[in-house]
Amino acid sequence: MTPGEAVLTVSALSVVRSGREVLHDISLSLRAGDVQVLIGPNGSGKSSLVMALCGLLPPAAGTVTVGGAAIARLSPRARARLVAYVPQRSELGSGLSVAQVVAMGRFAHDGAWGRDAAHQAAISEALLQVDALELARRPFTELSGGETQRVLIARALATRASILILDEPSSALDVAHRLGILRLLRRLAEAGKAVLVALHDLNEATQLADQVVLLRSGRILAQGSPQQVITAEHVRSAYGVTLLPGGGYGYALDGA
Amino acid sequence: MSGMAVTRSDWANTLALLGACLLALACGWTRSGVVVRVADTAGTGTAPVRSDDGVWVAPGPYQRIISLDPAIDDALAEMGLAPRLLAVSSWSYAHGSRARLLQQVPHQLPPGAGLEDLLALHGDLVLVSGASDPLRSAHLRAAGMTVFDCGTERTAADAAQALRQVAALLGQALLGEQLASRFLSRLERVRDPSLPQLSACYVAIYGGELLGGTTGTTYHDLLVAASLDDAAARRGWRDWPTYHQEDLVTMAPQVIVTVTGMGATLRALPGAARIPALAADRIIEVDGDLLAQTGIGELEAAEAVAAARRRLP
Amino acid sequence: MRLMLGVSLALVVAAAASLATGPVGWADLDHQLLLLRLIRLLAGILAGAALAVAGVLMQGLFRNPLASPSVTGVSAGAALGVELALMGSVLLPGLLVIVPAACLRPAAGFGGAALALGCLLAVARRRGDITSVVLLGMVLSMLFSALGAYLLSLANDRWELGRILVTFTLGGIDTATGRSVAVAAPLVAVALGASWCWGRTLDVALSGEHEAASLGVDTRAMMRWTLVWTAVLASAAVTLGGGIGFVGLIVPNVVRAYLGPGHRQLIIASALGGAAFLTAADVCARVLHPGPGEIPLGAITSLVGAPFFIWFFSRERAAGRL
Repeated sequence: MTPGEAVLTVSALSVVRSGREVLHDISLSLRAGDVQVLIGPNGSGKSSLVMALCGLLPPAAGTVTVGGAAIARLSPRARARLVAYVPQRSELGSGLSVAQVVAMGRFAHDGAWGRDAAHQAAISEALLQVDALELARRPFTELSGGETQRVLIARALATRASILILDEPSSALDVAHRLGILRLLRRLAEAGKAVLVALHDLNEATQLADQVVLLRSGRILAQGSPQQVITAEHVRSAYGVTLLPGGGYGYALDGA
Repeated sequence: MSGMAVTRSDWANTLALLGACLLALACGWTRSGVVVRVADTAGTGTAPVRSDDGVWVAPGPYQRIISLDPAIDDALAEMGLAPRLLAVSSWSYAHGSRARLLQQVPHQLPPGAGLEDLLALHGDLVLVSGASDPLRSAHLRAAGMTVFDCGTERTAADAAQALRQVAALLGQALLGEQLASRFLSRLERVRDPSLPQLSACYVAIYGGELLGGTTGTTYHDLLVAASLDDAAARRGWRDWPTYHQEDLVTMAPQVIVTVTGMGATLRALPGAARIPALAADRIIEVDGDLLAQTGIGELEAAEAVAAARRRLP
Repeated sequence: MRLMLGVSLALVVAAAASLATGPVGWADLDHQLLLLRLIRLLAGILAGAALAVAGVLMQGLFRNPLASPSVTGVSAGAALGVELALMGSVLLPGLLVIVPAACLRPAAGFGGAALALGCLLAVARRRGDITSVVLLGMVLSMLFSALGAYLLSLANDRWELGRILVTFTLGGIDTATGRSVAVAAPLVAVALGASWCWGRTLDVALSGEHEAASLGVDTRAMMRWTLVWTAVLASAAVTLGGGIGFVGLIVPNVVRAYLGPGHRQLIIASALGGAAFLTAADVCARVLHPGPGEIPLGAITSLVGAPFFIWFFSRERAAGRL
């Protein structure tokens, strides 16, 4: 996958949930090596769009194309090998170790009888990439918020999918962990992944994104570079608040 | 989403399910067919007798009979065949009308006796009533035992018929016919046509529940023998109904036949004054064991009810 | 590993006890009686394994340790089917000569389970989420139980039918015949194998429907087939042993506490554990009854199962594991 190549294309997508249209006429494309950030107020359809891009919600109109094929036509396994999803929170109960959770990411590659040859390597590699190798044997439910998020990302990485889609990965985390996740995502994009992440915080979006998509009421309000999208006018229109001039990000990680 | 598209796993699972069902059918689908047991020694030459569950059984000189039907126990004892009995139902042993004659039988079993208990006795014939578990009978037959279902003895006519069949099965057809005819004619003679026909019904009260017995049961026979008109039968009730008090009021029986000791409970029912039998205190109480007789012991029961009827004011 | 050895040993001990228990002494046993006891033992093993693994499947599907075949209404549907077959065989005695009892009961049980299954799948197809399936399952359980009670009231006039129905409801494997075991065996064996194959999918499904789908699980197919195999297992168990409860609830939870949630080993261990538990319960049913006869098996499993589960649940709760 060459950087800059469009790996996921959405054209004129509309999604209906419980009889209500939650997304209307959404078009965007995701490129390898890019970090695209989705922002918008509560109820703007960020989560619905994330799920639709992962193939978890069927389109009422329009298409989502991955690797040349419409995502709705792919089998769940084929889809999982192309697009990896990281949820906001995990419902996993007790009893599983971190390694077992990450191993779930290999499900799409499992044969009918046994695991494939790359199974163990993929798991170790994924844990290494998120700096969580030492957590491998720990029970998943005993991890802190930041560690949990990293393990969920590792699970997504274990699928070896080229597209990573995350739904507000840092919303429940403290400042240091948030910055850590952002740095990780940037590293993954530089390694060639196409990353799309829904975020709440506009400052984080400015910091992280190559491209920004601003949603309001299920429609795209603005699309483009952070400077083009996060303007006073757009912010007032979408959120109803004033963007203060000179507002920058107030924190940085040591050594960043 | 792939929706309802048929996937490879669907095919694999469907094949597995079909395979399992076919295997199961193959294992289970052999007809049980009809069973005719060939007698060990020279047979009586008579035709096979049809058991109440549809299986034909050949008559034979059965010497180790296990009888789990209390009604038949009495008949066998009356015919002098008790020495051929290996086991009888425990109820007959303790409460039957011919209990005295059955004391010599070596074993007693409850009607719900288990398979192993029955097979361990190594009998050559098992007599069961219509109330028994059909699966146990099937299992006994599969293990090679001869099982004869005497049917549910509901009325005197049923009891006589069962008696004839079992007697024929044991090569005593003539004796059975004599006993049956004698039983039926004596029962008929109990009735005294000179007595005025009063309307009556049989009611027992258990735990507040009013349980009756009418057309199609021995209770009807008892009422008829005592020159009483079955009020429940007139109202269209059948078999062993459960009554509400209102039903009794509607039936308005002039006499109530019940089990000894239940009269007091019936009199104490609220609204008893509206039931003619209870208001006039015309309650016939008969021993419970006697009333429960379904075989030839019914004769004694009928005589007891008739005697009590004659004593009514 | 230790747990696997432990349950296997428990099964062997229970099996030996089952063969040695009965009114006739071990020395006096003949070939016929031994065969009878062997059939009973096999029935107990099959029914126990089937109930336990059905419980594993349901708990994996609903991600709830309290789920069991009775929750989905499948057991109740199977029981209703068998009760109808029992009624038919008593009211129409000729039926048993035409159709062997061994085929009639399981077929009727599957019919009832399939009916419950059909209702559940219809809901699952439209709504797809697990909560509505559980709710419908509870309603179906109540409906089938009520219909069963209605059947029992119809049987009031024929007390022998009532007695048979009550005996069935109380549960027991003493009336299992060689043929009913032969019919149930391939169904249980294939269903156990298929369940094991779905084990890894169920592991991933622990994450929740959306996450599992994103990881490559065909959640609709999984729901479909887990329900089908549960119905097969539950109805085989019901036709063999009538109303036996708690096995599908207790055994998987106890095993999971030691083995963890991995479904493949959970299924194997639960099958062995369920077989051992039911066989041991059957031995108790015979040994503890004063005089000839036996305590209904369903009563034993409930009397043992309910307090044990309360203790186990409190312990796990206190340890923060539930």
